Amino acid sequence: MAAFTASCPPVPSDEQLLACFAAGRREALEELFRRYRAPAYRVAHRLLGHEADALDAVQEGFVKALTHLDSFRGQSSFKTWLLRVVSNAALDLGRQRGRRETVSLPGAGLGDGDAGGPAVPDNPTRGLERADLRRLLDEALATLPEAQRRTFVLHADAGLSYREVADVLGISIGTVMSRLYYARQKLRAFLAERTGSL
Amino acid sequence: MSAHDGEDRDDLPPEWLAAYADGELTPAECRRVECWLAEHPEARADVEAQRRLARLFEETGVAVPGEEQWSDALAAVQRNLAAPRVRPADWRRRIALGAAALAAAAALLLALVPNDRSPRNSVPVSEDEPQDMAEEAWPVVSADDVQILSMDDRDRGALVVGEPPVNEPLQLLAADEVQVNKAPDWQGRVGRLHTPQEPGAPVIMSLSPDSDEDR
Repeated sequence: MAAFTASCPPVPSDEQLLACFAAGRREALEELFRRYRAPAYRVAHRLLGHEADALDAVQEGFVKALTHLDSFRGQSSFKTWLLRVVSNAALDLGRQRGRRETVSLPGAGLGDGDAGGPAVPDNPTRGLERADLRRLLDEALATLPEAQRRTFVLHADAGLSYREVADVLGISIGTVMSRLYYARQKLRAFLAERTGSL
Repeated sequence: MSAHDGEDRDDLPPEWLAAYADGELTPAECRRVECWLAEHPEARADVEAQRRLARLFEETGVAVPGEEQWSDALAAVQRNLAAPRVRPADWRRRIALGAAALAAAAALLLALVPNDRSPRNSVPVSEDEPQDMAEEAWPVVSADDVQILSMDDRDRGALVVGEPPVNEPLQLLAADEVQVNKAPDWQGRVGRLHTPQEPGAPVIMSLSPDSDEDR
């Protein structure tokens, strides 16, 4: 990242970066992108199940968020605002293109061991390769209603707190808790059925 | 799943256990859960299962792209941001289209509301869905909140036309959730359904005096 001047300090806040971006500072965009590209991508990938589509959603999300900054009134953080726009973009993209099936069919693919790293330690699905386990989790996620899936992904993959998830989705914390609870019940039931545990 | 999902937890909302496992409760709430767990030690397995599930997703997180892909993505963002925006002269057209979209939403709602004026009852709700989800609805926006930047002329006929105000929350329904009676609106028009090709996609209804495909 290029050095910022006095108006854009060396470790600027998001608000300062947005002000710099509004003033036409190219490096402000680069820094905002660097800060939030990873959580945005994780959310988009889990919602779309496809790498290229997820990158498209991240790009579209950044463009929309930054071209509609007038709608961002600073009541939430830029991160939660961006993740709201990115997750909307991902869901829109998914509807347009149809969710590409990257997960295995029921019962298929477990243990075929493609390059996904070692088995995940200390988990009830012991013995599954990491890539197989990831596919199984994606498959489980795909069974959730959209609202629950989105809530769960924002918490589990973007690492947002309940308060932040509530801000992103414009719902109460109680609704976040409720959605997460029901999402987990379904995920656990799905995984228990497939793996016999959890 | 634990056997403690039902009536045994009358004194503790079940979602509190998940929030407790996530460390999302206040200290006072944590103490309440811990007191409850002391009286229901068998439910600790449920808490541990919540934590295992969280770890599972954490440990199998999506791998992020490499620097080269990020650079390409950033370049695409910069190109898009540098592209010319809609000209000011287009504002009137955009507002008009926004108003049309609002009218479309109004007509969709009016067309889908049965004669007994009980639209919420017309949406089937899964028994295992929490009530607050069932009651959530898409917000109705004003014309100022809508921007349609471009539209193919062929799509204009698919827009719903009607009259605001909308007094009820708008709900988008899939084809298999809707049964539309051939009740004409106040202008004698009958709704025409544009059924989506993809399962689960929302239905669009337009009002046309010469419609013969309504159902």
